[in-house]
Amino acid sequence: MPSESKKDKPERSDTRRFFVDLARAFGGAILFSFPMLMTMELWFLGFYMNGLRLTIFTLLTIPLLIGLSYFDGFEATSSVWDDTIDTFVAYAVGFISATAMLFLFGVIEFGMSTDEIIGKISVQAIVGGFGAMFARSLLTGDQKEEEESEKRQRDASYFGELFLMAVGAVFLSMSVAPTEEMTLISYKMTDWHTLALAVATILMMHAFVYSVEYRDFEQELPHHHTSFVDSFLRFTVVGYAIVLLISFYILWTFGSIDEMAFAEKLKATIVLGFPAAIGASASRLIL
Amino acid sequence: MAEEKSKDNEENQTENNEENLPRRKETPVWEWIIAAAGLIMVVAALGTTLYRAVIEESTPPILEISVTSVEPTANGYHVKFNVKNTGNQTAAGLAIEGELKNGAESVETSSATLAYAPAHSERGGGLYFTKNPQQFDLQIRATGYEKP
Repeated sequence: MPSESKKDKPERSDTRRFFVDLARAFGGAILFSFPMLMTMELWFLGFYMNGLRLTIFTLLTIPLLIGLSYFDGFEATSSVWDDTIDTFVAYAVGFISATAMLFLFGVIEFGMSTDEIIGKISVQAIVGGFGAMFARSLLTGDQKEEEESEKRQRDASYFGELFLMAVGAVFLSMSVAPTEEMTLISYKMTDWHTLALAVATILMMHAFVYSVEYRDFEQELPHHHTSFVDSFLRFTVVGYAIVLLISFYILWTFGSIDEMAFAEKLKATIVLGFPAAIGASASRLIL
Repeated sequence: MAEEKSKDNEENQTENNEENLPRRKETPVWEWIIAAAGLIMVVAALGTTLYRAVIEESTPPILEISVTSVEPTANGYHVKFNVKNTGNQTAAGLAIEGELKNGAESVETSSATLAYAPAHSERGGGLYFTKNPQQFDLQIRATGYEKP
């Protein structure tokens, strides 16, 4: 509603704009976190996962959200400080929506210990915070804001692109990593399966890389004419390396691969690498 | 990198002002309040987790099991129990066994499994018996668990 807010007094329109953005953030938080809010493993994570690892993970998500806010937050931001404020607003939205939903589902009840409640909410709140940040790109109807954030992504440097890939990988892998299926699938797979999955993941990533290039080519953006080898090495291979590192880190964080032999750890990493790769490649296309 | 970014942004902003676009100049008070609430929640969650991780000694699950009620049902008797885990590790797949004893002789046993008995938390369950537990010596104990 830019035309309306132009007429309003600036202060009032700022407040109103903020609440519209806030509502959008709640929408995003619930849209992106409900699958996890309805997954049993994620309720219990908070109290059985290693406290230090959870702390490190939470701390690492703060700069991740600040960066995401720069490229694609629920508000148009104009400084790093603004992005930081938005990050904590996103966390507040994540905490509030996770608490409300888990309470509605009867997962949190009166009389539970604070430890248990905080444990159940803290992981979900991070997921909700990401959802709140993703809100703008998918829920906005504001053409101008959308254009601006698109422009920022186009302008994103090579490292900016890699950053967006990392965010996508973290988001999708943390939503599935805690489930038992991740390790179960890796037990079912033979080494040949694993190899085939890795190759399939790389091919899929390159298909995404190609479609991003094709979109940029169609819209006649100058700096995206690259050869196959160039884009394959710069985005697909480097992207897959990032994906594997993140998958391994996420599995370690949630303790899913503790006490496994290295070969088994690698297998689980490649399995989780599949959703992580989807997240990484799609984030460049969607966000 | 951060400095570069903010410089770029300042330029963007002045450009925008020239074009007279509706841009936010000041952060609304409400935004501050909600951001502060978010900060408090993050710090509280981190604080609790760190406290548990660093300060508390790691103790295995310590379970106190108490019978909360014994009621007759259509086919026998229903015993409700409560498990309180005062240790700071969670027990998963906790096996609970209830035994009715007449002196040293075992009359009847029933068992239940609790998916989780989280650290510092309480969980409840029920056991069914065909004989009246109130006429015998009822003993409930945990027999084993799995690391989550």
